[in-house]
Order: sequence, then structure tokens, then C-alpha cells
Amino acid sequence: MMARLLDRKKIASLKERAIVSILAASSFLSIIVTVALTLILFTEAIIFFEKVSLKEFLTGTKWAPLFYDPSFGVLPLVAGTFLTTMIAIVIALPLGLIIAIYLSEYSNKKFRHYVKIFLEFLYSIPTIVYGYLALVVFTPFLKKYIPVEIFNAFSASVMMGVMILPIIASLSEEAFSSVPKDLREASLALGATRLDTVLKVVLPYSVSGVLASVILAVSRAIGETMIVAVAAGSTPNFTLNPFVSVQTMTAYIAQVSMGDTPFGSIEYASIYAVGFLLFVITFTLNYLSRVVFRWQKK
Amino acid sequence: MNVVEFKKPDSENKVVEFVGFGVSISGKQIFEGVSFPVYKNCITAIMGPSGSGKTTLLRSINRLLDEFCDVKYSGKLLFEGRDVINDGVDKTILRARIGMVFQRPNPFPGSIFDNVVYGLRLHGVRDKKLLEEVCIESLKKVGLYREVKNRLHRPAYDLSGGQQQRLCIARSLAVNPHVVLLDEPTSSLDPTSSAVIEELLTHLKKECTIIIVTHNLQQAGRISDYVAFLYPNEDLVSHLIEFGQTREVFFNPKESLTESYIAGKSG
Ligand SMILES: Nc1ncnc2c1ncn2[C@@H]1O[C@H](COP(=O)(O)OP(=O)(O)OP(=O)(O)O)[C@@H](O)[C@H]1O
Ligand SMILES: [Mg+2]
Repeated sequence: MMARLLDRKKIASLKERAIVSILAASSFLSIIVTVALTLILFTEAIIFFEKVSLKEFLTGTKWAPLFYDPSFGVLPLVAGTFLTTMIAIVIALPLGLIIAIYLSEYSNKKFRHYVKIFLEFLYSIPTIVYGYLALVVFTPFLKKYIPVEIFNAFSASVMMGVMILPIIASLSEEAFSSVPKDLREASLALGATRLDTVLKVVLPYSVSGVLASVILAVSRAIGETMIVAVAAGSTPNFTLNPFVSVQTMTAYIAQVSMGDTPFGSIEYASIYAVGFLLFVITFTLNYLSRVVFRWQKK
Repeated sequence: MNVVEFKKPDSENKVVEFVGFGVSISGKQIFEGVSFPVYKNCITAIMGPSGSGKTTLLRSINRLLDEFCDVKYSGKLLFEGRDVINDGVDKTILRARIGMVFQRPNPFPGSIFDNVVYGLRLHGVRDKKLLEEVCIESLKKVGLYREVKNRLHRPAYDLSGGQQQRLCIARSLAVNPHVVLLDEPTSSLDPTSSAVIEELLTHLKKECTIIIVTHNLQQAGRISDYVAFLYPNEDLVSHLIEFGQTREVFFNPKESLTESYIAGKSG
């Protein structure tokens, strides 16, 4: 009797140890994968920078890797990324905030529930669909009113704005909903209207939550590939004009990796350099949003 | 308590009056038929067991109750002679005259200064000097000025719980309310901080009328001039069991329910 009990205990502890080692192994694996990826990115980028100086790469304003006399100034790609991201945020931020404020301060539970489902739905639409919609629906519609190119930054950005809207709306809504009810009541009890209360108590209280949602949305927009690849074209363009074709960093990487660029060529190596830059930018943004989140907790 | 003696309790002196007043929330009757006056420059304590509707009664005075739930009122609730339920009183104006202090200190994000002048800014006061004056005066009233005068522009969250609660009282005083409502304002504080606030309230009643919800019998006995005692019946609908001067109700209760409640609480 006693022996069997001990046996059972032994088995249980063996099981426990097995589970713990599996867990440890998987978390270790994730570290290995991350380190490996970063290393590959880095070593391939080094190959590129042996041929092109870091200065030319970071300050050059012409990106023409396929020309007879190629030039590798990454700024046009950065400008394309910056332009599309900015327009997307300019659209998504106010709209997202208004939705979040309405949901947390004015709407009833039922409506809030349905809008949240709808936002989730928006977020789960594959981005290729957005890209396609931009190209075949939104751009032709725009063309009726303003002279835009078939491929243009604006259409892609608007769709990207719709894509990141759910991030800003739902994360901000969460931030607003976590404002203690007490605070709203204290404000109302002093004779504030609901709008006063939103502007003077709820927003200041949750400003870091909103900021974090914006940073997350920005890094999502910067990393977005499909929409811009399909709708914004593939012409590196050092411009802030949204109605012409541009190429973003991601779209360039996609173009080269899907094309027939020979392995080992400088064009091929260039995608690692661009990828590395992209990695640095998004990593910084994600880190920033983490800092902001922590700051909010305090 | 001599304030009570030389002031004739006529209608002039009734700042708030409940007349056959009742509230139901989402179809559930909380209390009904409540009638009693609140006299000027007195502290009126609302007492009763948990769930008897004290908070609900308090929140109907500034109509804060309406904001977050589905309320039906019955009877009358007079504030300075006007029925705030039926006479179409503007809630924001009503609330500007009625201060409120909550169970837990709830300062706004922002500085001590921003907190105190919140109400003034709401009502459009922009004059820096005036804001500063009122801020200092209000902080002095709650005995906080000396403690914070060097950090008026530091975050309010840096203050201790007791200081925060006094800050919240100062915030409600800054707009010169005629009545201040307090819902168990000391229940989250240590005895020393509570004593400071009790002391403060007995001074404050010289300039405004105070209604306080409290679970603490000793506290009610120490500071209040009048007590209203609510108690639920079998159907969990509360009624006003007794109202009167605190001494009378405590030492000479007319109702046996009051007597046993007081005996149970203090014994
Ligand atoms: N928003 C609401 N929705 C539904 N019922 C409510 C709501 N607020 C209060 N009630 C009900 O009203 C009754 C009285 O509540 P109230 O908070 O006024 O009691 P109280 O006397 O202040 O109690 P306590 O001493 O515990 O603070 C309770 O039965 C409570 O469930
Ligand atoms: Mg209560």
C-alpha cells in the first residue's frame, strides 16, 4: 500500500519534470530562433555593406538597384514607408479615438458588444484583400475626382488606415474603460458634462494607453507589405506626394524575394540591409510601446 | 450643537427636504416614503444597515444616480425650495452647488492645484490669480495648505490617503457649494486621518450644510446634529424609521428598531 503510494508519487514527479523540461526547451527554442534570425539578417546585411557604404545607404536619395549603374540610397523607400504610415495614422487615430470614446463613455453594452465584434472582423480581414480593394475599388473611385496614378500611396494608405483602425479603437477603448468609475463620478458631481469628463479626466488618465496603441499601430503599418505592394506600386520615389506611386521598404523586399534576382548578387543582399533597417525601426517602436505601457501602470 | 438651538427649523433653514421620496433602480424599489428635512449649517447623518439605500439616497440629491443606472423617482426632493426631480432643474447647475466626497479618495490625474481648481475651470474661470487664491483658500479650509504649499504643482497621487481625501474635500469646496455630500468619507482611512476629517467637518458646517453617510455610530454621535435612520422591511424596501436630533435618537429612540440597531452597533 505504502509502496504503491510512493510509486505514484514518483511517477507524478517524473511527469512534472518532463513537462517542465518540454516547457524550458520550447522557450529556449524561441530564443535560438530569434538569435539565429537576427544573425542571418546581420551577416547578410554585412555582405551588402562591404560594397555600399553605410553613409550612401542611409543618406542617398536614389534607390535604383537594377540599373546598369545601380544606386542604393534607401531614403526613397523610407519616404514611401513614412508617407503611407503617416496617412494611415492620420486617418485611423482620430477615428479610432472617437470610436473608443463613444464605446466607453456613451454607448450601451449591447451596441459596444456588436461594434467590438465588427472591429475584430475588420482586423481579421487578410491584408491582401485590403490591397486588392484599394486597387480595384478605391483608386478608380478617386480617379473620378482627382488625377491619381493607378498605383498611388494614397489609396494604399487609406486602406492601411482601415486596417489599423481596430488596433487603435480597441486598445484605446480598453484604456478608457480602465479609468476608475469614481473619477468620472467626481467630475460629473462637480458639474462637468460627459464631454468635459472625457477631455479633462478620462483622456489624461489614459494617455499612455492611447500612446501605446498608436505606437503599436504605427509599427504594424510600417511592417505592412501586401497592401502597399499591391496598391502603391513599385516605383521608389523620394517624395511626399501621396498621389503618385511609391515603394515602401517592405514592398521592395517582397518584390526582390519573389523575383528572379540571382542569389549572391548585390540586389539580393540589399534586401537584408533594408530588412535590417526595418527590424531596427520596428524593434525600437515595440520597445517604446513597452516602456509606455510600463509607465502607464505606474 | 448649539447651532440647532438658536436656529428655528423653519422652511428658510431647510436646504434639502425629502417629501414622500422614493427611488427604484431597474424596477427594484430601494426605498419609499422617505420624508425628512436637512437643516442649514447642520451635519445630518444618514445611517442604516448595509444595502438600506444610504448611498442611493445621497446620490439622488445631486442626481448623480441618473448617470449610470435606470432610475425612477417618486415623491419630491426639494433643494433650496425647488423640486430637483420634477421642476426641470439643470443638473450641471445643481451639481455646481452641491459638493460630493466619495468613500475612497479619488483625485484626478494632475497636480494638487489642478485638482482643487477643476470645478472653477469647468465654469470658465481662467484668471490665474483668482484660481490661485481660491486654491489656497480651499486648501486652508481643509488644513492641507501648510502640508502642501511647496508642492502645489506636484501630482496629487503623491499625497497620503488621508491627505488625498482632504484634497477631495477641498476640490468640492472650491466652487462654494451650499451643500456637501459625503459617503462614508473616512471608511478607507486610518483613525488619525479620520479624526482630522471629523474635526474639519465640524468647522465646515459654519459655511455650508453637510450630509454624511456613515456606518460608524460613534462618528455620527460625535459630529452630527441630526440623524436619519433607514431600515429595510421584509421585502427589502427601506423606510425612514426615525429622524431627529442626534442626542434624542441615540439616547431616547422612539422606535424599538432604532434602539436595537444602536444597541447592536455599540454593544
Ligand atoms: N446601479 C444599481 N443597480 C441595481 N441595484 C442597485 C444599484 N445601486 C444600488 N443598488 C441596490 O440598491 C440597494 C441599496 O444600495 P446602496 O448602495 O444605496 O446601500 P447602502 O446603504 O449605501 O449600503 P452600504 O452601507 O453597503 O454602502 C442595494 O440593494 C443595491 O443592490
Ligand atoms: Mg453605501
